[in-house]
Amino acid sequence: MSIARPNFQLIAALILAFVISSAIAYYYVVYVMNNTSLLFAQLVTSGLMLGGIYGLAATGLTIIFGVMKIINLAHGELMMLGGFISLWISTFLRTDPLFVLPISFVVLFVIGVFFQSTLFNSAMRYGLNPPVFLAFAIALALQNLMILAWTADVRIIRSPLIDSTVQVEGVSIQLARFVSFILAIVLILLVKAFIEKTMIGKGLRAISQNREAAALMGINVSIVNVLAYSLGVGLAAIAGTMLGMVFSVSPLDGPVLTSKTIAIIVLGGIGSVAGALVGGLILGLIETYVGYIVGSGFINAVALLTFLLVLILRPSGLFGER
Amino acid sequence: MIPRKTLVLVILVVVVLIAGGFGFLLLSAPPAPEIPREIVIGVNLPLTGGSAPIGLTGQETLEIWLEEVRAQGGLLVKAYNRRIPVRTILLDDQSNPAISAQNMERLASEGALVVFGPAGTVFALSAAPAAERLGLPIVTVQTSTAELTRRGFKYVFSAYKHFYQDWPVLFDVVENLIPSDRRPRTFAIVADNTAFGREALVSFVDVAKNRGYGDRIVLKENVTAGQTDFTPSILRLRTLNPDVLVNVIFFHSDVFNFDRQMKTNNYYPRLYVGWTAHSFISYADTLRVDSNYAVVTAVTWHPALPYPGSQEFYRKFVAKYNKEPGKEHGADYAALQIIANAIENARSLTRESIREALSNTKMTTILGPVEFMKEGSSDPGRMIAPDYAIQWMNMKQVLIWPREYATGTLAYPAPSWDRR
Repeated sequence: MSIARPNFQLIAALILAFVISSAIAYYYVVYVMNNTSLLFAQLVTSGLMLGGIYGLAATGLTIIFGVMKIINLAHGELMMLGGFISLWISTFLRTDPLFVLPISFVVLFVIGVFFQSTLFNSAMRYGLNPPVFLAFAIALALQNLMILAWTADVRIIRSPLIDSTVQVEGVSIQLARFVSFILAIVLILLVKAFIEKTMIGKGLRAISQNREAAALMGINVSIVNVLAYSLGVGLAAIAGTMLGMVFSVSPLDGPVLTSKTIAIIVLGGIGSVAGALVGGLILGLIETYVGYIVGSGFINAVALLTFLLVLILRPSGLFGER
Repeated sequence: MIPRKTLVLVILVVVVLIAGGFGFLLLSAPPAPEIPREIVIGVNLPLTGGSAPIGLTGQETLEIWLEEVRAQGGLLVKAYNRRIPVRTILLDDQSNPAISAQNMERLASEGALVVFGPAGTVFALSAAPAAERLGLPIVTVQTSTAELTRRGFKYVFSAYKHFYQDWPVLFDVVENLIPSDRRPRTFAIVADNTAFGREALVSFVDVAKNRGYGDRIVLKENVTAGQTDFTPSILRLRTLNPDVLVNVIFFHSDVFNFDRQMKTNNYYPRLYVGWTAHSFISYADTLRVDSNYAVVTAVTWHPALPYPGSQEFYRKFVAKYNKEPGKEHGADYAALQIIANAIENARSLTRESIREALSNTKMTTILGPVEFMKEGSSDPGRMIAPDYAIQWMNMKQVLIWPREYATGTLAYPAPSWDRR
């Protein structure tokens, strides 16, 4: 697990890429489509807000990978499970889903403790492949269990507090997206502070850097693994709930979310918490600009080309450790 | 004069010959056909995985149909003039086309005479060659692609119409329900990049051209399935501002996201026509009042239709599941009615006889009068049935077309979000 160190060249390059791509988008909106600069502002805002949600979704995954060195292929299903649990609890308690976020976090944290202590810890003894297969099996099991529990129907998590759109100088902003964006930044700062300032966080970093050395220094690797996995799964509950407010939740949406969050953490730097947000923002802006200028059918192609370009030029991702 | 003795002898010989003849006939006649103890119907549906919603509607409908059949003591097979109980073998294709094809092998080996399903284009396309090879008739549902029935299969029947049959209803609605001075001038279509979406888009453009609207299409957009955020497409639509927007996105979650994001971006066309999730009851359950004003053409069934069994099916469904059936349930039920009709009228209970009976289908289902296109036509095995159009109003499906069955009128143009 890494903490982003200021790399001014990289930051300058990212800002330059943002300015150039935005200039192209502006030219297209105003001079090709004969629209106003207001629509351009809408595009930028939409892209950034979308990026914030992506960052939030990827944070839990990057923590798990940073410490355990495994890709949690059940991350998307766990996000959906978190969303359904929030929906269920908020309906049961007749309260706004925003208020049940801490409860959902705790419920999935406990589920994470169970999975890690009973399944992953033993699977990890046999190398890095068995836990990945195990995560895949958990994904399939969770998907079908969710269908049994809540049917395959798509649900929207409605938060009366933020289920509306506000107009700021003519630009529409969905409140749920804005809250997700802010929540992503706050959570990433909290996780960063936790990793940097606490003893447990130092343990997480030590294991992510050198597992054997950390164990020799007396750090209990199994317990730290449990903590990292549970923290990642707990954050998935928050991300899933916010996704349900902005988009929707469905037991069947897990695989798409898993693949998208994997792309984000690879882009931002595997194991880097700040990189998850930056990767999310980049993906959000690319999708929005490309979707408007070239057409939505080309979004994935251009996003994957960017992904490949980053892998070629900087295989560890933008904020990953070399 | 014939001597008396000779006459008696001749009569005796004749009697003996006649008796012998009858005896021979009795002994040499084929034995009466053995009456099967049960009728095995295979069911091949996606009950888990990405397409589970369409498979589960089939399963719900199947349970109601089975209850009815069991209550009657089975199906009345004319070839045996008696009721024979029905047994089903239900297999889940797990939303995997390869498994859908494998299921056909298993159903054939376990004695299925006919198969209800698969449901969904990709699964039907995968299972159809297996059905043909095995000589096992299938009645697919929710398969709108023309590719399925344009391959000349003999054992494949689609209890669903394809795009080219359905699109004209959209133009019928535009031309008949909207006064000429207010009629829409421009059209846009958003489809996803699945085989379903691609064929939907191409067929829409073809039919629009035939109806004289070819040059009025201002946007043909193929979005990516599972894209989640459709803001860029919606902002393009806001810029181009077409009068009619046709949404043919396959996955329901994508449709819900698209429609919600139309509201977020303060965009709604004068006429919004949906195709997939828009016709499901879950559309209003999910979007609530925001579902209002969406129009669905190519509706196969509505409970208000006056066909025998339609309202009875509606009542039974509500009583059993405590929710309203959608048009897809109606289509599934009609498929089962067609299967039952074929079994009851088959010359014998063999796959070949049932295939023959299916191809000769001409009956009234809850969808109305239906039949299949014949061999030698462009789409052998494709259903011919009436089409209807609905509009969501007050979170209910109002039947708006054709006029003779309409339960309400088209609300046009749809108001913008801030005027609702």
